[in-house]
Amino acid sequence: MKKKHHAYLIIVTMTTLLIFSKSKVKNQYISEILLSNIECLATSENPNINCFGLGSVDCPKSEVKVLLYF
Amino acid sequence: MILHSCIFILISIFIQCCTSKPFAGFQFAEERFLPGKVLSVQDSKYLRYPFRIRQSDSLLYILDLHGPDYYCHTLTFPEMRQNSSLALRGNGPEEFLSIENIRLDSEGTLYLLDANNNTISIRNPLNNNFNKRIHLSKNLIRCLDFALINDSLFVIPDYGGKCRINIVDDSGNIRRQLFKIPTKKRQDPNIPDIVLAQAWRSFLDYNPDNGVLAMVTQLGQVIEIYNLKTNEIINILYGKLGEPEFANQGDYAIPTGIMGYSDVHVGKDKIYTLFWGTSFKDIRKENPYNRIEGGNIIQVFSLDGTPLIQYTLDKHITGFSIDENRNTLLGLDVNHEQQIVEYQL
Repeated sequence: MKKKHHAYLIIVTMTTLLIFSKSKVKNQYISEILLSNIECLATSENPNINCFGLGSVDCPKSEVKVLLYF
Repeated sequence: MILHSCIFILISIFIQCCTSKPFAGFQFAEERFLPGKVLSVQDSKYLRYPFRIRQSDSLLYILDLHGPDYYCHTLTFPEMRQNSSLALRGNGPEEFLSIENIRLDSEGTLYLLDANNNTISIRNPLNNNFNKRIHLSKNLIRCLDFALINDSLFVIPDYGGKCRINIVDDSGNIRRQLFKIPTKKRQDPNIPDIVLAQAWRSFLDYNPDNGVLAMVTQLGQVIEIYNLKTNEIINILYGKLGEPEFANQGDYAIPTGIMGYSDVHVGKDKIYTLFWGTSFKDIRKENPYNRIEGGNIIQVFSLDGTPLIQYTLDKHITGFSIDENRNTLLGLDVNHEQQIVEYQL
């Protein structure tokens, strides 16, 4: 009986954690290649935004189109 | 008993979180794979990122989004010979900082939108000079695309988030603001409108003959169809991958979902769209020097938004043009040395 209650508790906890984590933006995986080789533009007006690569996505407050930013 | 019920409810929520698909997706009557024919350009200039292609009679105009010297190049068609290079990159009074799109009217007049100069420049086909530069209203904030309504009106997507599109005259003034961003998911009123507008950044095309404007989201899978003759919404289509997903970081929209659409064309009785469908999560994991840029899905809809046919191309392209007389599509392939591919629809 006690084991059953422990199992239920684990399921409830895991479910709650899963729901909680899906509502947050996860830390993104960045490959080492991307970090070391790609032109990185930290925008002067917002140093927390980093724009990478060459593409068609409009990097906020910079003059270039990039592959991605975060 | 109560504990069992709670477990059941939580597991149901868990399953909903993992498997819920708010949008059913498009059901096309037909799906087809299309092989393309590479059109070799003689003595080709290297285009760093060809993004837009327009055709006027026997000339092709190609916008190189990252052109190191000139932004726009012309080729003779179908001979595919270099003809000229236009729109010099630079800070000079007749130079360009960041061309977003190029348009041709029925007389062959070329229009170029420069977002960082906030201008539309017009090139006279008779003397090949840029003889007019329209300074756009600062209230537009940032103009990332445009289409011609007629020779004195343009439609530009709104960047401020208060409306969906701006109708702008040939003095650069806003004449009218129409519609709203068709988000179904906006729950946080603290997200500034401009952040929502950044996430909903869209490409557009307008056909003055039928009055239909189509917009396609770059960071999601939404297609909007409007009638600009009656100022009415015709249809809003939500694909399987749904609305643009983003995080608000310092009042900027950080895309967290997908690369959606990158081009759209409104024809006589069909709307053609180019869809990528790549997630940013996957893009971040790719080797940036060994990856495929672009989309290979052409989704075709009727003017009222009925899905008609979906083509899967053999190459990934970034932009395209349609010749409805010949029923052909010309695509721009940034991944190979010869960058123009023709498809028979």
